[in-house]
Amino acid sequence: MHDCNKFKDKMVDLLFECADADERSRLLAEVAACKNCDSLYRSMSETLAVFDQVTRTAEPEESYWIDYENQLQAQLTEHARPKQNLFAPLFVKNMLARLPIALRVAFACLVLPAGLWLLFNRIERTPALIAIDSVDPSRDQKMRRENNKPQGEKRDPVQKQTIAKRPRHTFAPIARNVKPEMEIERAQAGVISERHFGSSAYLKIETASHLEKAELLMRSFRHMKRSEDPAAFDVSYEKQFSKQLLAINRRLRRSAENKRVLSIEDLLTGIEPLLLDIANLPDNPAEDDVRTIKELIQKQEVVATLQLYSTKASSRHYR
Amino acid sequence: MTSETELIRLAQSGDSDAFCRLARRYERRIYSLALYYCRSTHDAEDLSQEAWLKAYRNIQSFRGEASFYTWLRQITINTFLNYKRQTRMLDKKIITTEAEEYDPVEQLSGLDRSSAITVEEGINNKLLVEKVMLALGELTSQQRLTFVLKYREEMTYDEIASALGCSAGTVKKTLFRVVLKLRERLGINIEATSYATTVTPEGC
Repeated sequence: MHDCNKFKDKMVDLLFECADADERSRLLAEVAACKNCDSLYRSMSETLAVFDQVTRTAEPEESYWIDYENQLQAQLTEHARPKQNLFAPLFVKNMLARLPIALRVAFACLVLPAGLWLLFNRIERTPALIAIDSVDPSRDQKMRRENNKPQGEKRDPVQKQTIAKRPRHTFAPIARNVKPEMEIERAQAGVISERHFGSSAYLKIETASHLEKAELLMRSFRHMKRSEDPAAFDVSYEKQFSKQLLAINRRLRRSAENKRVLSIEDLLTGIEPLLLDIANLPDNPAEDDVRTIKELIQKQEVVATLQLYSTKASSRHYR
Repeated sequence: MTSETELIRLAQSGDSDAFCRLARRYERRIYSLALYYCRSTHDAEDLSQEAWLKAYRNIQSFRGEASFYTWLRQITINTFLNYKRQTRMLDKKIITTEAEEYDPVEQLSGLDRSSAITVEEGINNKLLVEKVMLALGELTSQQRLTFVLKYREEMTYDEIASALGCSAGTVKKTLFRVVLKLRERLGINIEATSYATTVTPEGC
C-alpha cells in the first residue's frame, strides 16, 4: 500500500540516483501511480536540473586559476611550512631496522627495565586498601551493636561506673615491620596509632576539624588535675565539649561508613566510646572513673593518632 | 607526467611545488564545493585556500588508506564546519546581508567566458545564478553542506553522515527538505502537493 509520507526517503533515493536499476524502475512505477508523488518528483527533479545548469555556468574562467595557483604557491612558501616532529626520526621503522642487532638488544634492555620500574613504582604509590582488608566485620558489627544500645540503657547508674571498663573497639595493627608477638600485644591494648593513613586523602575539612577538637579534648582530659576539692575532678567543661563532639562524631562516622572510608570510620568508631564515657561522667566523678578513661586514652595512643590525622589534613587543606 | 603517489611523496618531504601540482588536479572541485557552501566568490577563494593550507600542513598524516581526494575532502569539510562555528553567531545576519549584497554582475564577471554566448543568454545565466545563490542562502549552513556533498560530490548517505556526525536517516530527511525548500525558493511548483507542506523545517 503506497504511503506518500513514507515514500519521502525513496523519493530522495530516486532524485539522487541512489537506487539500483530494478529498484529505480519499481519506484518510478510507484511514483507514476500516485498523482501527488508524481508532481512532487517532477518538480524536485526540475529543481536539480536548474542546479545542473548553474554548475555549468558558475565556473571561473581559466585565467582565474593562474592567479589562484600563484596565490596558493605564495601562501605555501610563506606561511605553511609543514611541522617537523623532532623526535619523528627516532620512531621511523627504517631507522630502527638499520641499527645493528646488538644495539637493538641494548636499547630493549634499557627501555624494558625502565618501563617495569615505572610500572611497579606506580603500583607501590597507589593508595593500598590494607585498612579495608584488616577490618574484622564481626568485630565491627559487635561494636556497632554495642554503640546502638538505647541511651537509657547506657545511662543506667550501675553500668555508668563500668562504662570505661566495657570491651573496646580494637584496631588490628597493619605496620609491616611489627613482629607478630608485638602485633598481638598492641592489638590487645587497642592501639590505634598504626592505622593506615593512605586514606587521609578522604579527610574533609569538617572531619579534620572534628579530629582536631577531639584531640584537644583528649589531651585536656589526659592532663586534667584535681580541683580545689580533693575528692573530685571538675569535668563540666569536658563533659559539655564531649557531648557536642559526640553528636558530630556519630554523623561523621555514618557518613564515612556510607562512603566506605573504613579507616576514618574505624578511627571515629574508636574515639566514640571515649567521648561517650567523658560525656556520661558525673559532675564530680570519682578518681577511679577519670583514671580509667585516662589510661584508655594513653593505652590506645588516641592523642597521637588524632594528632597525626589532623596534622595531615590541616597541612593539606590550609597549605 | 609524475604520478599522484609520487607527488604526494614529494609533498610529504616538503616540496611545495609538488603539492601545488597536486593541488592543480583538484582545485576546481574544492573551489566549487566552497562556492556552493558560502555563496560568495571571495569567501570561496579564502575557504578553499585555507583547506589547501591545512592539507599541506598535515600532508604527513596522509597514509594512503583512502584516496588523496577523499582525505582532502574531509579536510575541506572540517574547514567548512570550523568556518561555520566561527560565524555561527552572525549566521542569520550573514544570510540576510549576503542576500542583499549579492552582486550578480560581480559574480558573473569571471563566468561569462564564451564569446559564443549571446548577451541574452548571459543575462539569463546571470539571473539564474543569482536566483540559485539566493535560494541556497535560505538554507542553514548544515543543510547547504549536506546538499552540496550529495549533489556535487555524490557521496553516499553514510559517508555524509560520518563526515557531519549525524545519522544516515537524518541526511536523507535533510536532503528531502532541502530540495523542497529550493524548489519553493526557485518558484518551481508544478502542482501543489498535499504532504509537501507537512514537512517540519528542521535540518541535520
